Amino acid sequence: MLSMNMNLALIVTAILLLIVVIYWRYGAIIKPLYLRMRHQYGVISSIVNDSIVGVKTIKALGIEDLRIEKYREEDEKYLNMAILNAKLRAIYDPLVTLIMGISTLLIFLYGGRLIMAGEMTIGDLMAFMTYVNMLIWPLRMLGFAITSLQRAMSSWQRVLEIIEAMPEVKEKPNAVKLPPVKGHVKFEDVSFMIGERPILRNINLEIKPEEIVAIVGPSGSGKSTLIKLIPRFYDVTSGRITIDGYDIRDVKIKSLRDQIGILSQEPYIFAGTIRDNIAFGNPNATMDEIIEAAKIVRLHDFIMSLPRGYNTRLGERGITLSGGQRQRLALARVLIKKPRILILDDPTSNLDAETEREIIEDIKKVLKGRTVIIVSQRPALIRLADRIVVLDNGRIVEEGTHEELMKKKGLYYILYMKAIEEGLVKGGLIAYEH
Amino acid sequence: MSTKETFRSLWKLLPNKKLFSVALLLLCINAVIGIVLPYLLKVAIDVYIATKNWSGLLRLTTIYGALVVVQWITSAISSYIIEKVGQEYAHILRKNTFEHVERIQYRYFEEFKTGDVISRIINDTATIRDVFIGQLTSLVGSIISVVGSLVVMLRLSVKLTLAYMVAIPLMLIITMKFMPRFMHAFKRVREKISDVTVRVQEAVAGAHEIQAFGREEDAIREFRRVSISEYKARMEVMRMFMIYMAIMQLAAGIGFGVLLTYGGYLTIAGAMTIGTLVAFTSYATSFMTPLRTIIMFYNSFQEAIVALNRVDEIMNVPKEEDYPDAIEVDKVKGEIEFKNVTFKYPGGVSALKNINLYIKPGEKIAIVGPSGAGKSTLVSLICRFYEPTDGELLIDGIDIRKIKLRSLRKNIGLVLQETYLFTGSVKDNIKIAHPNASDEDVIRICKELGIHKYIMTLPDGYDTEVGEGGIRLSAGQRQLIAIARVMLKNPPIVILDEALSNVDPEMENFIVRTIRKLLRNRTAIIIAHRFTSAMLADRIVVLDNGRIVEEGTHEELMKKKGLYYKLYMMQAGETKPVSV
Repeated sequence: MLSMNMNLALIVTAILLLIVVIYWRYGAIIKPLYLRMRHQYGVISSIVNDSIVGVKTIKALGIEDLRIEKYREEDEKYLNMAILNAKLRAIYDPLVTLIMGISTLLIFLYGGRLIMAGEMTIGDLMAFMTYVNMLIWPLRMLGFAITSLQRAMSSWQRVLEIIEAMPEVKEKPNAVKLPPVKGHVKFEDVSFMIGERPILRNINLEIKPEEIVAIVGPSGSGKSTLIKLIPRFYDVTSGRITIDGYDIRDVKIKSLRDQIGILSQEPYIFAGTIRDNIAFGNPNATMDEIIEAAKIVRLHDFIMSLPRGYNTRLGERGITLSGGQRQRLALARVLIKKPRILILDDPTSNLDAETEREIIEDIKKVLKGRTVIIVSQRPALIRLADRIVVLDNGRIVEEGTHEELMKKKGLYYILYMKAIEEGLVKGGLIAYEH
Repeated sequence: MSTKETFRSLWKLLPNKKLFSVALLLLCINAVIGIVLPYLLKVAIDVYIATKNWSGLLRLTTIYGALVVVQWITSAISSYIIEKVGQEYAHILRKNTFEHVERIQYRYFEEFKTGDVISRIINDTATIRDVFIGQLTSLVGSIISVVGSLVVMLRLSVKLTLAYMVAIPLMLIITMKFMPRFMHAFKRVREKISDVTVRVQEAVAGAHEIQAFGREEDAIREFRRVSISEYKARMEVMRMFMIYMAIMQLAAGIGFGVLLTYGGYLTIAGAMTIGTLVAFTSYATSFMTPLRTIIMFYNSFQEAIVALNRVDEIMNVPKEEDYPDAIEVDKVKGEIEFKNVTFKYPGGVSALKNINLYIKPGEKIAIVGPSGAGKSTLVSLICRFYEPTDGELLIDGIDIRKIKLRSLRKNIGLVLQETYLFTGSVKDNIKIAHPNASDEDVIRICKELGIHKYIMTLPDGYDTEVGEGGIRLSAGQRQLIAIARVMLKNPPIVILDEALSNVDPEMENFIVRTIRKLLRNRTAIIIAHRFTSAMLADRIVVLDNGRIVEEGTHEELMKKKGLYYKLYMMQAGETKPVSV
């Protein structure tokens, strides 16, 4: 175009730029609106979600009308945003068409003048018009592209947040494989901070192989964090943790975690068969090993009572296990994995007393020959330990056996007495009625 | 529903019909102007430029400019109205669908997949709006464009028009052939997207355990697999699209080539003016592009029909309804009687057989038995989530089918094993069935229950946010709120369905004490897995395999040494009392 007529081409270029600017502005204005609309979309989805998951509650309470009203309110908010969007679209989109129309006009006027002056032919003008028309589609695409870019940038921001969020526990390039350990765990002057906040301070703790140690303390004392350091979910801020003399930062993470078993409060059950879920601990486990593990944790009979046995599906489309059964499954997982170090992170706090008692019986079967670290406030679990370590505000304040600590009448004593008071410990008096 | 009925019912729901019709009119005007404009160009070239009539050209371009402005105005107004009405329409659709879903009978909820219902209410309605309002209206404009352009083209030169049409049949055939393949490919993409979402959800939920068991590589590998699958599906769509576009471009190009060649020939031969040719090229575009839109609309139309059917499907699921002769009752005394009640689930599974049970007003009975004995089914019957297959269920001597559902449920308070709370504060949740209750009322009943002090120990007291589903609170705390909720409701009948099963022992005693206060002067049915709850009852009923096998007080049943005795001993069995 430029080669045909400078001025005409310049006019067209100016128009192009104008359109680009308009789309850019539009993109900038529309972005916050889209964000708000997406958020509101989530709100109304969540109301529908509640209505299905909580249907029994809603019907029993007879609050269907209230729920309908609530939905109406939130949906109207979405509607208002959508109408605002419509307004904006109605202003910007036709504007571009208008500009194209006016530019056709200008080109015709100017081009016509040139033709009349003999400086250009009709053919040239026609060609010009065609070129301009050919630009319309790409321009429209540019418009879409700009708005898409805006949306993509805000999405990218969200993705970036996740990627940057996690403190990376990196494996050293020359990391060695951790050989089969005996389970001698040592915390050497370990401190851990999150940002400016100290969570653990100067922890010095030695756990000998096959020792069972319980870590207790009030909420916020740092117990959960302490045990998360052992499998290197986080790295210490200062000091070091060694297992059998190896600094855990020097070994390959997989070889480390392969030797640590964890029982947590809420075991993760995923959509898969029972067999898959148990084998999660060791993908190479044979069916015999799986059945053996299930028998030990007393899950086998239950599984066999199901029509599809070990092939029964669990998870959202499958059957749901009770709290106790889930913990048994988690125990089976640990058995299959055969770790030397076992961490019990309050695995019975979600269970009723009877189930808890049963699970603890099964846990006992798993303790032999392992270094065990128990974090809990449940006396029944704490009793399993050879030694108790008391944490307060990130520091170790007391250490000893149950009897020694009770004699001391320190923090442990206080916690224990409080537990009795709240019926935590059904002492000889309020026994299990028999 | 037939297509005609469908359209009629859709039209009925449309808000602001007058305004909408005005918008359609403006749309037509817009399209008509679109047909006139290229003709003006023809005139500009043939009449004014050719004769070097500057003033004439100026006049014409002014008219052209005015028409473009009118187009702009009609376009802006009509698209705004159509979009606005469309959104209001979608709002009404969503609202109506939700309203219906909210009232559907309980039994159907067991089969619902949450994501699917959400999709129907929100996504399918959006598709309906998008196609039937958005695309259908622009279809009007397209039709006018196509027809109008064709008419003008024929008037300008029949010969040239026919020559240009050469490519059309080819394009139509190609499009028809591609459509089903596109649909199929799109469907696959949607499935794959769903797969990816499921994987991500699982992996995030179980991240801790995946890490603990060192299975990150597996999880990543799995994700990579479904992600690549989605990528491939999308690329397939892209590939098809490119082939389609390329062929269409080619066909259009051929058509245009014919146009120029033959048109050029005609012009040189003097049978046509340059202006006409220029106008023709314009019309060719304004004929072809809307034609493609119309053809592709067929595809969208199919999609919309599918969406319509899905919404229809859920709207046809039966609602809970009262029987025609149902009456309202005030506060009942709380006398419950099962007369020879038998119940089979819709799937045929037998749950209760010949249940005969009489409960006095104010009596508290516990129902125990092995898992699956039918305990929770009793609850479902009393709340009329299901109806007995045989026999009668009476409250205060009235068959519960004769009582209006709303009335019935007002008289029953339910505490489930797992309490679901709604996003909001503790106070909001206690008040949920009585939004007009005052804060003082809430505090008063919490004091009566003895939980006021406890609630005040929460981070924000009564204003503590509970999170979605109540996730920020512990199971025990949720139960306390459920109990307070019932207390505020003040019903004569209270049902506890394994209310203590999920609660940690520290809370258990506290909750038991709270429940005791709740049950004062009320009829209570306590479904219990664990015998501590049974202690709250005056009488115990033992269920096994859907039948009542034993009845009596704890002492009586222990003496019998029957099923109750066995169950009880099993539970207490392995315990050694924990000594201090």
